[in-house]
Order: sequence, then C-alpha cells, then structure tokens
Amino acid sequence: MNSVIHVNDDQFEEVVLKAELPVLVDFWAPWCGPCRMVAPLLDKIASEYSGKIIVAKVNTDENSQWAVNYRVQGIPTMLFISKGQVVKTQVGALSESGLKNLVNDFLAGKN
Amino acid sequence: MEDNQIKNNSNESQKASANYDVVIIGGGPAGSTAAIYAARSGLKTLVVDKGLTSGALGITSKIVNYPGIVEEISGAQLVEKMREQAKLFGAEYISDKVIGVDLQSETKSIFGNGGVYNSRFVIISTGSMGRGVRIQGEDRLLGHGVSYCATCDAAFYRNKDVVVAGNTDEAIEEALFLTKYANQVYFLSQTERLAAPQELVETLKNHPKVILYAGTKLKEIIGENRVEAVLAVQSDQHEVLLSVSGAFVYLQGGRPVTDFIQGQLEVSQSGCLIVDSSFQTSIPGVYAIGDVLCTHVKQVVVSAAEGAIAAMAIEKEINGRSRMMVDWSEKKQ
Repeated sequence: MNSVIHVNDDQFEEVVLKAELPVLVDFWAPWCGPCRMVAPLLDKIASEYSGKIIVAKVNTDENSQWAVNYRVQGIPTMLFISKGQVVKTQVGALSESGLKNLVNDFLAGKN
Repeated sequence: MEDNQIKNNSNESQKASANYDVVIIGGGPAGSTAAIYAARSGLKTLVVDKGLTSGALGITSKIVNYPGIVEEISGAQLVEKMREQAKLFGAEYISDKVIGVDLQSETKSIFGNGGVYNSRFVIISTGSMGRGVRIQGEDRLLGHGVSYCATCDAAFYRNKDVVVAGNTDEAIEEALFLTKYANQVYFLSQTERLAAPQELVETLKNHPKVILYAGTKLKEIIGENRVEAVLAVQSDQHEVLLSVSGAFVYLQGGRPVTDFIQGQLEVSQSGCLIVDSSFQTSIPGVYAIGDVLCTHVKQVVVSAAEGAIAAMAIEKEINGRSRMMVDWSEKKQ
C-alpha cells in the first residue's frame, strides 16, 4: 500500500518528472483550508491506486522553485504529470468523486 | 514575520477544530435563530459565517415588519442582535468561508478556508446570494491570478498589484489581508456604498496600499496565461484598465449558495434542496433552512422560524425524546 510522497525542490525532477508511473502532484501550504480538505482524499488515492499512480506533495511554503516554474499562483493546485509532461491541471479543492474522475480519466489517457 | 502571522492565524483555526453538537453554516436570521435555540438547549453550537454583511439581510437598509421590533432597524443591526442573543446562550461564531463538507460520515466535517470543524449535526443556512454568471476570463485564469481565497494565495502576490472585487465585509477583510503582501490593492465595489460596518470601511479607505473604486463594476479579467490586467466600468460608463497580477473575486448573485455541498444532498429537478417537515435533508442529521431553500418565502420571520424548528428537531434527536421540548422559561423560575 503506497502513501503520499512529500518531495522538495531538489527531489522533484527525480521523483516526479522522471517517474515511470503517472504522477499526481499537489502544491499546498499548511495554512490553506482547501488544501486540508484535499489532503485525506490524496491519501486515499495513493492507497487505492497503489502501483498505478504516484501521489506527490510539494509544500510551497518551503519549496517554491517548481511552483514558480509551473506558475502556480493559487493552492491547492494539482498537476497530472505523465512522463515529465503536465497533461491536466486542477486548481482548488474538489469532492472525492470529482478527484477520482480526474484520476480515472488521467490513467485512461483521456485528459 | 509576515509568514509567521499567517501561521499564527492557522494555529488559531486549529483550535476551532473541536467537536460540536451542531455546526451551522451561515449566520443570517435562519442560522442565528437556530443557534439561539440550539445553544439555549445546551448544545455545543458553532456558527461559521463569511461576514455580517455577506447575506441578503446584511444589505437590507431597513426592516419594518419583524414582529416586536418597532424602531427603525437595518438588516445588519437585526442580525447583530440575533447573534448577540445566540452568544449569550453560549453559541460560538467564527468568521470563515466554507468551501467543502463531508456529510456522509457519522461525524460531519465542515472545511473552511481557515479550519476544519467537526460535528454530529449540520444546519445549512447559507442564503441565496450565490453567483451564477462568471466574469469573462475568470474561469480560464483561475489559479493563474484569479483566486477566491486571500488567506491561501496572498503570499504569491508579494510586492505585486492586485484587484479585489466585492462590497461586503468579507471582501474588505480579504483586501486588508492582501495588504500585508501586495504592493497595491485596488478595491472595486459595484455599489457606491460598501455594505459593511463603517469602521471597517474607514480602515479600508484609509489604508495606504488601498485604492477604492466605488461604483465600479469588474467587467473582464485579461491575460493570456496569467492575469495581466482587469477591465472595469465606472458608474459614468468610463472604462478603467488596471494592470494587476491577481484578481480576488467576492461578488454575489441571486442563487442558493450550495456549491460547497458538491452533490452530497438530494435536490429536486429544479435544483432545490429537498427537506422534510423539520427541515432535514436527504442525509439524517443534516438540515437546511432559510433562503437557501428555493421554495421558501424570503422573509426574516420565516427564516427565523425555520431555524427554531430545525434546532428543536436536533435537540430532540440528541436527547432521544419523542416530542420536541417546549422551553417555558417561567416554569424554571
């Protein structure tokens, strides 16, 4: 059972961009309410889709480099990355079913 | 230093995450009356509200038909009185914007921009001033300069110019929060007068980083990949182009505020929340009252009555009695 991986700026390229599996990466910060709402859903995705997707989180408070690169200006921002390329961006919190739909479409290559 | 201030704020919010018997979303006449009845019957009660003037009553200048109130009173003053009464009975109020809920679990979670609130029972009394139509460019640039949460996103606008669109105390509070980071905050109010307590309006007007455009409507948010400017129209029809990196939108409309429910409750074909005679929704323990119900008669006294009914039903449920308790004060003396 996989869990969410916390990545910093230095690890981002290796863990997210060079990953074999598709990656869902969440840019968040501790003071952000909508981020707290998404957090347990991301934990669920990581365990339920174990082996199919990597769920990574970047704390923009401590690691801003990749947030700046991707022009993240609002959190939470979730990027769906496949082989180093962003194929879908979700800004703001959403429901469990909404997030699962996005993940299913992403894994099915529908984005 | 500034970042610490945010974190302290977040710590305060964490304190509010205690368990409540009932969390009421929206503190207008429906929600505040429910709070009066719930707190009076000993339930641990929390009201989460965006701001005093964020609802329909907050912008009503004169109430003349609320029974027992003979003197001229504004909507905001009447709500304030109800809130004071609820607080006297022990209800807590917290200023936060609810952005999501988990109503399915036995312990319900209410997610706000500032914190998470847990309770056994939930009353939804969010009113009907939700937005329908979006500003041109708003959806496309969401997360790329368009935001609805200054607490979340202000830090991305350090030393940049931003615009805030709205006219409620919620919008003003958000604008004042942004001044901690932004270089310049343009505040666009569609109405000439701001619907907020005078003291708050003065703080906004006198803030060195704020430029107030009263009677100015946000028309378009412009930018290719990120917000670069906004176009606004003044009351004399003159257009203003403001160069900004961020647009924080707190506008209102005439729709029931139900977006945060995210489809968890049953609605009718016309999109109205379905409730039973005690205002319980399709999920046991979750109630909806006041203007958020679209079949409802939009009168303060009706909203207040619905608040009383819902709170008494919850009290009955918690104390396991088959009949609602009638609170005859004189019997206690």
